[in-house]
Amino acid sequence: MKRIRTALTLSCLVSLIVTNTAAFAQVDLTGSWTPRNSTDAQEDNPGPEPLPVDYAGIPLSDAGRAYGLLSSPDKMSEPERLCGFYSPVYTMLGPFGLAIGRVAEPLTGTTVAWTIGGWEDLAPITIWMDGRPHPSEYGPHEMSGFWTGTWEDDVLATTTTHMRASILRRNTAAHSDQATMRQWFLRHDDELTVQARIDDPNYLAEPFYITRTYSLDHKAPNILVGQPCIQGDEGVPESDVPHNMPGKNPDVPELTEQYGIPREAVLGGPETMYPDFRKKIASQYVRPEKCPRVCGGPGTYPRPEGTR
Amino acid sequence: MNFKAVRVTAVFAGLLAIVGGVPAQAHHSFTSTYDVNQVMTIQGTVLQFLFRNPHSFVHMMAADKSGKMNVWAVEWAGGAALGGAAVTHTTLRPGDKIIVTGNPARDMSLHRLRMRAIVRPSDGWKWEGTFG
Amino acid sequence: MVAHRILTLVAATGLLAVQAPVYAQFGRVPPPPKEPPAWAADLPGYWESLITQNWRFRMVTPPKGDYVGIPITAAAQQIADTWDPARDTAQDQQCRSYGAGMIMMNPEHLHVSWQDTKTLKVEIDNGTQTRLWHFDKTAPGDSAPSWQGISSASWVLRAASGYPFGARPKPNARYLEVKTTHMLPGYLRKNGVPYSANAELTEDYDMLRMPDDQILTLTTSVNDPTYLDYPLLLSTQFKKQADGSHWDPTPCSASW
Repeated sequence: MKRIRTALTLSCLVSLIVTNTAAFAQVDLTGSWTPRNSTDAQEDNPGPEPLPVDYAGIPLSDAGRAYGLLSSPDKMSEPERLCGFYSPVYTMLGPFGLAIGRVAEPLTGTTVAWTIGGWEDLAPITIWMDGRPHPSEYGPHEMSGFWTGTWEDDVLATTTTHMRASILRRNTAAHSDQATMRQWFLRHDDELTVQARIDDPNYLAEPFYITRTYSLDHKAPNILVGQPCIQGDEGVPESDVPHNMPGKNPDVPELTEQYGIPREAVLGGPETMYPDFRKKIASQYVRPEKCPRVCGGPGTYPRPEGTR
Repeated sequence: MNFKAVRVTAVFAGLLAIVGGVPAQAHHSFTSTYDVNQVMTIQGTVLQFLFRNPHSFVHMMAADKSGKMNVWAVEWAGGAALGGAAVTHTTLRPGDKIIVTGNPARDMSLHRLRMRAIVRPSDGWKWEGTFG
Repeated sequence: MVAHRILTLVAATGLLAVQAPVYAQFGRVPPPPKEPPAWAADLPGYWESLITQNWRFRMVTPPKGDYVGIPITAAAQQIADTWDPARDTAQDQQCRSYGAGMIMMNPEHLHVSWQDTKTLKVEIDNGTQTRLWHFDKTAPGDSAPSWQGISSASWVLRAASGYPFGARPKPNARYLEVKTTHMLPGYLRKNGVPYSANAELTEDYDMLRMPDDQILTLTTSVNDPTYLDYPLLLSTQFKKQADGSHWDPTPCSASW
């Protein structure tokens, strides 16, 4: 009888300890998440897409602005770049959704990593949850960068380092390979908002905060991610490196000409993010009489498949 | 791994991308690369039809505005998307005479167009539209 | 013997204590704590919107007929195509684009404070608007519609996923949800894209704390079957300010 009681007591204690070590719930992020692109409607298809020089709202440094103005969008079609992946910042910019999975330790079921499926121009992502350190600053920069995650209460907070140089917007605004990104995955029922913060000591004067919202797709088991890229000739000769000479970018006036946006807004910078900037441009902005092109309208945006 | 199943799934997913209205493009912003406010038409001969992803390309020999013959690269929808429109890798063959209408590249020295319409007068085959 | 009995008592108590979170494993999430989460203490103060996306729809008044990104109905398009800021001003309707349906997407500063223990007051300088978020389940009743409507707020637990051996949400694991109805017809975009008096607004607020920044992330959903094919889903962020030195109340304007 005493032995039975002892065994029972010990098993209760063990249960207590085990329960308390895994006491707090984690939010389930797995599933196929369809992007709802209204937050970035001017950028995402079928929006008008950004003009080559549209840096309004991006806190570019002088170096970042200079780099962007020297760049040509045609460099994407250079033979050595045309099948290149974007950096993980592109998860906030591209048109595809997120296929989020979980890797569990087989015996205990604890989450070792979260995964985000790749796109045709985005490498698959692994978010390590096991406390491993990031590589040294001299470590290689992979296409997916290096991700770690922790739970901040019920929010998955990630840190991404070791990214390759890539874009901040789907035009010539870019980040360097020293950029880092933090993301927070905020689930509200069947909606997921991802808040991102991008820091870049080279091309950003202040942190760049952007958001993206998704709806859980209840029907399709996979997100539609397009096909793998196949090498080919996109019309840029092998010897060419498309670029603009300093001060000679022909696309700078276009946003002003089409939409009346003042030039100092077009060229970006930290002040363009803040409400006070409106006072500065109030007398400069000339509202066009009507929408010049790609204006949306009824039926332009079918309800995303599988969402409620 | 069952590669055939993966391929079928991938193609099916790609077709759904078009049928379901989800944009198949992600590669670059068309507005950044092409002057979408301009339209031009060129007439010439198919040199090569690159049926691929993310975007197919028709390479053709045609004259530019000054009359000089150049190799033009005409960007079209991805292979999966074109499959949904009954366009395959054999639809166009080297030597075909075609008339192409599209948006010219911002950098005119590159001789690129974004496809808006294509006609092959010899048999009347044509395609017209936009693609994401 | 005594030690053994104490040990048994502790173990039994512990076993009982874990029964509640074990419920979560079977889909029964325990009720949230009654007090606000710890991060609510950081809500009062001044906040500034960061306009980094959809810049030319928010920072300036876009041209008439630019409804890109909004799943509008044909009825909404008819109204948007007849937008006339001069007419709105003449009819004292210049605050249409400052209604609750879209005001939080405008470039602005917020001054957040507790009006009382159950009401959070959110003042907005751009348009000199005030929103009251009620935590006491104030029923609209026969309240007349207004630009800011009637807002009901609550602290919402995110769903616990029910891991083995039980799980329970952390006490601070809640976001702020605000539901608003009884709004006057307003604009989803400053160029006259409408929402109707039947629109319902749902906002979810999360706070993110970093060593050098505090960010309030907003996810907003406007449901309006009259003028939208399906709910319009948007998100944005606000940055905490050290003080109100940028606070600059300006009246509603129909054109700017």
